[in-house]
This record gives sequence, C-alpha cells and structure tokens, in this order.
Amino acid sequence: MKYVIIEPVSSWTQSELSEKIQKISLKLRLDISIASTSELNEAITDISAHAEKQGLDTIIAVGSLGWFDQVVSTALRTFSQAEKQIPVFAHLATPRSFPGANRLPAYLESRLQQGLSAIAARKISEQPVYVCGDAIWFLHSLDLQIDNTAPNHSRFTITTPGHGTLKLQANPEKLHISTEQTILDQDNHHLTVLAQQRQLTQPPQHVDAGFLQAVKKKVDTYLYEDVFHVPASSLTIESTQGYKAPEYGLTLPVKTTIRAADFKVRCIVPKNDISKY
Amino acid sequence: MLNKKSPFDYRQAAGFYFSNLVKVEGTINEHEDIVIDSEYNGSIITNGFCEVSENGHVIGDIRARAITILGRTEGEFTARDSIVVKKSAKIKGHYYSPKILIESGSEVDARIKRHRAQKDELPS
Repeated sequence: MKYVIIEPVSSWTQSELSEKIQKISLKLRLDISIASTSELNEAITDISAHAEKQGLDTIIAVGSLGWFDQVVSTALRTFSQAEKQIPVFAHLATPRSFPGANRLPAYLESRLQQGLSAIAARKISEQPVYVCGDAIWFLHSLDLQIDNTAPNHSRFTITTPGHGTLKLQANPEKLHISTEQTILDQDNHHLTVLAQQRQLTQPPQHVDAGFLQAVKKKVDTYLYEDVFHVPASSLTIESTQGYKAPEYGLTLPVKTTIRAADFKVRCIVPKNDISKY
Repeated sequence: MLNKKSPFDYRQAAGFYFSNLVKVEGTINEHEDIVIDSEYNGSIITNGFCEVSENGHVIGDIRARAITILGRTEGEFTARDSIVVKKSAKIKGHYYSPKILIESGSEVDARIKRHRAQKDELPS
C-alpha cells in the first residue's frame, strides 16, 4: 500500500491523526502520503503520474463516507483520463465526534490500527476488502447467498442516494452488492466479482494490482436476470434465516445493515428459471 | 459460433429496475430511468424515463420526464414530455402531460389533461 489520504477535521486533530497514521504505517511497513481536502486534486494527479513507477495499488481514504466518495470520483476521473490502471479504494472511518483531548491519541490509535491491520492482512492474503455492517469490509463488491432449500422471506429497506426509502419483499437466493458502476470489457462482458462464485472462470482481461486480481473474473451475465437493482446509500436486510457471505465463511445476523458510499444492490436469478414464476 | 454479446437491455441500463418477483413500497426521488415490472405502492419523482411494464401495477403518483404504461396504474401521473399508454395497459386516475398517446385496446378509466409540467415539479 502506498498512500493514505486523510480528511482534516481540524488542524489539531489533523496533526494528531497524521502522527498516529505515520507511526502505525511504520509498524505495518506501509508507505503513505497524506493530503488534505484542498489538495485532493493535486494529490490524486500526482499519485496517478507516479502510480506505476511507485507500485501504487491502493488508495485509502480516511474520513467520512462523503470524503471517500469524493476521493473515489476524483481518482476514477483522473486515472481514466491518464489511461492508468484503476487502483483499489479503501475507507477508514474517523469518528463523528471525538473524545476528550487526553483520550484522543489512544482512541485514534486503536481505531486506525485495527482498520489498517485488517486491510494489510487482507492485502497480504490477497483477499478483497469489503464493508458490511460491523462484520465485513468491502470496497468493490460483495456476494451474499441464502440456503435455497429452506423457506425464506426477506425484507429489504433501502435508502436511495436521493434520500428516498424503499421497502421490498422478495425471496432471492443471491444478492450482489457493488460500490462501482458496471465494468464492461471490450466484448461487452460484465466484469464482476460474481463470477468468483457463480460462473465462468476465464482469467480477467484487465489485470488489476494487488488483491483485485483475486476477485475480478469474467461472467456472462446474459445467463442471469435481475430481480431488482437499485442505487443505495444504505441497505437493511431482514430475513428468516441469515444470508451467508461465502468468501468470508460468515453468516450474517437475520437483520443486517450495510452502509458505504453510494452503492448498487443487484439481486439476480438464473434466466428462464421457471420455478421462479 | 455462439454470440456471447449481451443484447441491449433497457432494464439493465435503467437506474432502478423491479421485476415481478418483488413487491415494493416507498418513495423514489432521483434522476435516473426507472422500470417497474412489479407491484409498487408509493411515489416516484425522476428526471428520467419511467416505464410500468406488462406485469407492473403502480398505485401512487409518478412525476417523470416521460412515462410509458404497459401494465396497470392508479393515481396521479405527470410527465414533462409525454405519456404513452400501450394497448396492454389498464389505467385509472389522473394523467397530465403535453403529449398523451393512448393505443387502442387499452382500458382507460381516467381523467386525462394536456398539461405542461412546471419546472419545479422534477428534480433539477
């Protein structure tokens, strides 16, 4: 990992936070660089210019989800314009409110160390970094599935980016949650993590750095159809049995909330599956 | 040789899509195209296109740039550009748009009025 981008909360907390991140990065053997909000464009352009030479593969945004969104948008635009490989994005949340000054360093250290360690560990083991409630971190996409032999009734409460609220009732076996826009390769195939679980396993045409190699595969999505897809800023799933995240070997609670920067929820079933109608 | 290219599917391209395997209630206030092939109770405001497909049944209000109805609708529907009622449609309620096209064969039990939507009716 090469860079950390940090959102300044105030000049004092910024310096405290910077210092902590620097210290932790030494322990984790990470190279980092810190930019403030006003320097974001400049910092991303600089990162993009030196990305290949420096082996950049990950950008971590430390701050609010809004800040993460801003970092992702700016970086996607800049890297695409420069025709560079898109890096992996990660997000570390800073607290909405800070504890007292004397407790702040320890507080920050524990939060940051935990987050950075998780990212470093997953990177080393080439695992994707995702976020799902308190249990899983994701930054690209996440597949959830349910045991389809058991009866299941699921309710989804979705907050849309425009602050609308939707309540959906469906009984899908699989959910695909993605923070990105659909990526198509030159043959119009969708490139998505879904393939890892589901389908063809042709090697990806786009080679991403780091752990994205482990998750991006090719899938012929014409074999599937959507039950629904919606943009979302938060998703609460309530089901009679918990969804599983097979990549992590975890079963989520029967009520789980997923939050991220704006993401897409896509629920799919195989095409022409008569039993669904 | 098998052509693996996906045909263009406007449902895939739409920002919101609900199939007939889901029941939905709520509100949408967005800028994206919306395709509803499900039961939907609630309101929709969008700057994009809105289609109520053959299996769609909307009870509520829709305000959109353009609305195409192939299923059942009940409520108040306002389109800035046009409303198209296809022959498979069954509509009730109030419909307002500068252009309204009703195909023969559709079931219409509604009040229809040519009306130019105000700018502030849709998200900017």
